[in-house]
Amino acid sequence: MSTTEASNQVVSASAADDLSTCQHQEAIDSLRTSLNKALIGKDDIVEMVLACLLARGHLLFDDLPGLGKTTLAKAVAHAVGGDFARVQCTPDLLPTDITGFNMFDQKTREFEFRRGPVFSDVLLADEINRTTPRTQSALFEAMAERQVTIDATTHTLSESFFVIATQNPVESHGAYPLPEAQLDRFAMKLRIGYPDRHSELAMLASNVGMPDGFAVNDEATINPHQLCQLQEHVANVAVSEVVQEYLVDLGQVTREHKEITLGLSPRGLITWQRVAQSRAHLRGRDFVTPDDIQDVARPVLEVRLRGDFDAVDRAVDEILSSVSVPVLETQNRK
Amino acid sequence: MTALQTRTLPKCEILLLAMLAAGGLAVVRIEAAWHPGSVVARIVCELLAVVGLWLLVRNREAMRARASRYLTICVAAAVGFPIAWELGKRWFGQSGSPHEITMLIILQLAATVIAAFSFLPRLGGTSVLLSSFLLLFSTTMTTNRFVFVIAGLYGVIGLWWLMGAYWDRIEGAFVASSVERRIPVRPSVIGITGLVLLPIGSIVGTTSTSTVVLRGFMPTSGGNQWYDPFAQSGVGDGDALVAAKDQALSFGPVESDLFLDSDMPSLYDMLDDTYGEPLKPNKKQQRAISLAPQNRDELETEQRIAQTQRGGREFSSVRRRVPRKRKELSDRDAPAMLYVVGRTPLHLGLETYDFFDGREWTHRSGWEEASPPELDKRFGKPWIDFRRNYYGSIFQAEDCYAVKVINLKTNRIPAPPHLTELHIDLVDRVDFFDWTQDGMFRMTGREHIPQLTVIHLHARGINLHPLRHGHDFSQSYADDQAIKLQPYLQHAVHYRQIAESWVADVPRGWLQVEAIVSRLRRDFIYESVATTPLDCEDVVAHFLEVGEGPDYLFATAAATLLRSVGYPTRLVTGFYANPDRFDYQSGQTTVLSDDVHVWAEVCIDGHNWVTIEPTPGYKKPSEKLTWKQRAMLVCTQSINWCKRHLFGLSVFAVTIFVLTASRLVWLDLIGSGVCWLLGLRSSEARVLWTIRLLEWRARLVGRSRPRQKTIAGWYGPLLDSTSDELQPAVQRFFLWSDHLLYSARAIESNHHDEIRSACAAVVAASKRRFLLSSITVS
Repeated sequence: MSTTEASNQVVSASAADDLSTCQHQEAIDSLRTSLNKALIGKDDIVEMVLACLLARGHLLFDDLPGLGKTTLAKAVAHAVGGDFARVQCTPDLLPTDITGFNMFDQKTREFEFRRGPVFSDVLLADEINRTTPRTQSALFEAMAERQVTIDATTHTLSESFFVIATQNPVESHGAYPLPEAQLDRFAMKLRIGYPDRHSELAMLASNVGMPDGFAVNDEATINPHQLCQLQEHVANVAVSEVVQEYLVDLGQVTREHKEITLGLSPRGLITWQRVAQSRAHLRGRDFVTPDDIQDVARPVLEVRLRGDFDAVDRAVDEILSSVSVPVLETQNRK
Repeated sequence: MTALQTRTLPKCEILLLAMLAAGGLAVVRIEAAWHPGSVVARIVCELLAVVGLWLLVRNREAMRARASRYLTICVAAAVGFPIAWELGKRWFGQSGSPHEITMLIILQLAATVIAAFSFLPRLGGTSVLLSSFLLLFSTTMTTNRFVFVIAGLYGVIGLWWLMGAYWDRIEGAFVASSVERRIPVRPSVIGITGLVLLPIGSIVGTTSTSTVVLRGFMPTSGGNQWYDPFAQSGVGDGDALVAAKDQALSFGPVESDLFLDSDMPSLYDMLDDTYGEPLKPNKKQQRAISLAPQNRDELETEQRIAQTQRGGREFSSVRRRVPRKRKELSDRDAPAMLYVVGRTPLHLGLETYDFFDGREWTHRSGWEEASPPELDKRFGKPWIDFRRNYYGSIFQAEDCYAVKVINLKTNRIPAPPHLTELHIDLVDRVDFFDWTQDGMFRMTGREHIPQLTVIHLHARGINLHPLRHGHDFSQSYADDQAIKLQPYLQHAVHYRQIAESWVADVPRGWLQVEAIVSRLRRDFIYESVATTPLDCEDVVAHFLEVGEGPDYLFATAAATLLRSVGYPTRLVTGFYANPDRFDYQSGQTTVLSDDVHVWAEVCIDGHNWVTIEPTPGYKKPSEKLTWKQRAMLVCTQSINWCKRHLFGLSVFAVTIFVLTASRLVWLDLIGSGVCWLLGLRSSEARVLWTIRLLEWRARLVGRSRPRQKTIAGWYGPLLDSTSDELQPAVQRFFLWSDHLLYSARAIESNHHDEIRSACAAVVAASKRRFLLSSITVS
């Protein structure tokens, strides 16, 4: 457990009234526990998933097969307690297969709207880079605006609509890489990575006696309404002026970096701030610190910055190290 | 070689800048040349070669692929070619260029060659830097308008290039701009710097003032330790150039006609000015002196010779100051007697005396030099050689001096000891110069040296080390020399006893001479206005009794004492070029009428006289030390200084050691005290100053917070392993610090106690943790 996380508990115990917004702490804790059970030994990934969920962002998993992307997505869906839908993206998948379509009813002699998987609370779009750009675009309208337009009729999606997409970086044959404009719709990109030895042993032990291979917890931890409340609360987490300036400086640096061909957009900056707010809330604070910004920097920037894989990874470190954290400037200004 | 280097091409703007700088130098070279045609041809060839190289590099990818190797070869050629050319020119063609021109040509070729390879990293900047220096030097060396036009053009293009380079850097070197700048003030760096600077400072401190001037060390024009016939200025340099009187811009201040005419005092006028007028000698008392154990015939002969030499040429050591009607020196337009360029302190002798009767010094015997002066023409310039026996082990390489005569009415040449040759421009007849009877130099057939004459002098430097550690020089004269030196000895029992008591433990030889001189310098007081009583028959006895007097009494006493113990000594009058009067701007030392001085010389081998300076306040003649001796001198002087200040040094060293060893403790105490006091105001101040204390302590143990880390992000893990009872309070502190720094809400008053306890916990934890870690760090 990190130092800062330890401090959260202290706050919870002693200074909760003043320093944190712990009204929803129990809900968050149970959500965290539930996801940790599904994905053993990946606390940090779970924290990021929670941050993304509370920031009303969409999540992209970019990793090898078999590392638990789908498992985690299903666990999120079950934990949130809403409708869960899954789309296996293939080249022949049509936009209507995602959004839904109007079907002519022979009996009523009318068109009837058949809802697609987007009309769910949690949508898992598996291997999203396998489907055509046309289908991808249909999904991105839903992600960005939480609505779909079919035959000039706009249908509003669920308030807690949350997309978890996965893509496999290894098999590039027959894949349609997501364009930058569309990648920007995702709040963050995560790589789960291999678990450590201890976690793998625990995984194997828990697998014994399970006919399906995994113990799926069907009980919802929170309901969509609670999730929306949490998301509203996150939106109200305070961000001081110095922290915003720090964020803008970082954004500026991404645009000037030599190895980054496409820097951070203003929309990306807003998303970064929201995810940092979410991170602060998860830590039990009602204000954002530069630590929150830095913690979520890598997943937020990776999905946005265009460049070589290694270059982006290295560039994030360079970007963070190139801007001074505001420390005593605050007091000097006061 | 990376692909990047082969893809990019040399930049034309850098070549343009280098060519402009080369153009500036070309103007200077053409101006300085005897035959501009050949220089223009050479410049054109050089520039064509560079442009050819540039085109070659630009068009041949194979060349760019192996650019590093070609660059090394080309730069070596650029450095080697001008040197080889110059050597060849001097060897075969009997002509040459000043050293600085050669060095600037090297700089020019290097800048242009590097410009051809400017696609390599950092070489573009190097080329521009070299070009800028080149143009800077060129503009200082000429008044030609064309060079300034080139400089202006260079400035415009250079600015444009600079802006381009800046944008390139912004665009391409993001990481470099993110590097945090810190001054390297580690103790090890300071220590090593101090160790390097200490010997340099000691060496500079132990050398004379005028050697501090850089030109003395530069192997180019203006040096006083190097000789170059093609130089444009400096002492002894520039034979190939015209004299000052013919061309205003030739030599510099020494040979320019800026000094106004005035009446010229002779040496005797100045001696009287300085020391007062001599009193009439008492013939009766003079005869009563029981000195000089020569037989009567010899005495008569010498008396006769001395009579022929007379004409006021004696030096009385009994004098009185009288008011004079002469104009004060300050009324004159040029108060200087001479201007001297070269190493100072310098004793410029004019006249010597061999016989002393207790009151007055006179010439009695002649001092015949071995051979007459000879004429030697070098590069068309006449040099008068005074060939003497300079094969002794004490003689070193020659020093160069220049003396400009301003207000001196004598035909004797003010010359440094061990003069070997002199040069006065256009004076190419050897019969203009001669030895005097007392062993000095003069211009024959003239009453005085013409005003504003510049005399270039070469004199042997000496190193007395072999004399100090060798045999007794006074016992090794040949028979004829011993007879010749008889007049310079004086066997007075009384003085012999005094002198022997002064040198009781010192072996015979030069060390005894130095011991007597040192005793005089140490125990006697220099008093320029002191005089001896009118009826004093033995001024030396009176001087030794009183213990103070002017320089002529010091010199007389030294001569008398040295003579009494068997060291042939003579008195010399002349000028003392005082290093305190050295003018850094003009690089020359002014010799005023106040600088009239009397000293003594000791004969060491029957031919050569070595100057001794017994008067305190006047610096001893400088020796030409070898590097080893210089190092030893520095060591000895340093050790002696340390011995003299042993107590103070010990206290200083112990204090420094204690302060250094305990620096963490007391710096921490100071920081803690300040932070505690300033944190008393409020809870916010308490948190804020605790943060500052954390920063201070981390800096002390070398774990300063990187700028991209927050307080909690950096110090949290550092304090993570503190004891369990403090840990919760420490974590609370980080929460409060985050709240203070990043939350808009103020801290409520009911948390003050908790904040204070959290801060106290952090102060305690950080002290324990950082001091522990400092042990491992250090």
